[in-house]
Amino acid sequence: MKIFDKILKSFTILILILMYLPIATMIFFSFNSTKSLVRFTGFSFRWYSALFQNRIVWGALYNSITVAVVVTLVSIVLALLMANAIVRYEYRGESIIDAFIYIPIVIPEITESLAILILYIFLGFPRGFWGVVLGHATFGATFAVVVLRARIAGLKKSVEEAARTLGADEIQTFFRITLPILMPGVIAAALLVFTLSFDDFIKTTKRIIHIFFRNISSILCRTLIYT
Amino acid sequence: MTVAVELINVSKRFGDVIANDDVSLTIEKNEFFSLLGPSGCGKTTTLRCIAGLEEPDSGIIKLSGKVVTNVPTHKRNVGLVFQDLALFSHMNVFDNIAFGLKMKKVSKEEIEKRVKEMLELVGLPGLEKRRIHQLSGGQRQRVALCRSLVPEPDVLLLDEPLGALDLKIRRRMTVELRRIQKETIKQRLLSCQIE
Repeated sequence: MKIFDKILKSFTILILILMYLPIATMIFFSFNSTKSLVRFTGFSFRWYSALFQNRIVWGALYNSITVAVVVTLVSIVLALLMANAIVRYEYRGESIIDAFIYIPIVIPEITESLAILILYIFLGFPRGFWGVVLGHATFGATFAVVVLRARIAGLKKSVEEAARTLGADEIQTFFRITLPILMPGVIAAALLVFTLSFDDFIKTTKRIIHIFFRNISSILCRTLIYT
Repeated sequence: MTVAVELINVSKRFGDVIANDDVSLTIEKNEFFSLLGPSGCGKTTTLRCIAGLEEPDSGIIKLSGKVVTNVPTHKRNVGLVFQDLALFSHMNVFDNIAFGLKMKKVSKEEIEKRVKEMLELVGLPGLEKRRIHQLSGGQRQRVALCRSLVPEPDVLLLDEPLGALDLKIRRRMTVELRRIQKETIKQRLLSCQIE
């Protein structure tokens, strides 16, 4: 058993090294005095001062964070309602709706983003901040549903009923009983959605990004990296 | 004798299953009333109808002489101890028991006093700060009972209150339930269901 423990330990360390080595290398070369990513020519803060002076980067970061926060809030509210409907109610076509909720997770992002873009153009929906938020939220909510439905399925109905017999109306029951019990799930879902929106989202080809963001001021971090 | 609970021709079906078929019964104040029967015969459904958690398909339910058939659960002033206890796992013992009083907007000092008294009554003094998962089965049982008793409901319903306990504790709790009923004279009725 001791040998097995040792193997497990070294394996874990190996995986951690593999995961973080590229990032560590990047941090190391960020202190390089020249542009080279191969030869370390000397220590300097040159690139950091360039970063702090670059307004576009900070603007993009600000946009990314604002979008991610709003997306998280919208997604969680939508997902709570959806997950509740799926778990608690029986209705016609339930399994079909269930399947449709998961499709956005499987569809390649580029296909989905193109679809959203075409829809926006077709409807004449403005492609600014709220356009991005709506696009992200359709995606984020589905992920949040997956996390929340498990938590809601584990919530005993009798606990809410107990609150009702003790004189709590539906709203009080939700905020004092249901939501606090679901909280670990809500936090997990929120972190997931925030991360997805923050780093993953902006549609992956240059071209689409250009169409998406032409003539608008919202530039997001990811866009900058790709363009 | 005043009537505490009155059911007149109450029927409730779930799809094809008839849970309650024309149930009529009268329970008087201070009466200790037990519903007996095999599992699936509709005991729980009857209690849930009285508490307002199920709406009967037909029939009338009266509490203290007033028709409550369409009154929502939280306005009925009925205590119900659930079969699975349904304690609030995210709260400690004090907050569990205090919940009903908070909903009734009772003052903080009053809540503290009454929770303390109630815990003493069931033989669990000083357990206010405990979390639910730190309690034994019998202790949970008592906390659930406290939680339903402390807001002074007009009717207290117990749904197989002893089902989850082993035989030894079950016998002791039966005796204790009677004692608690006698001590809480404000209680108009302790309606109980033992399998």
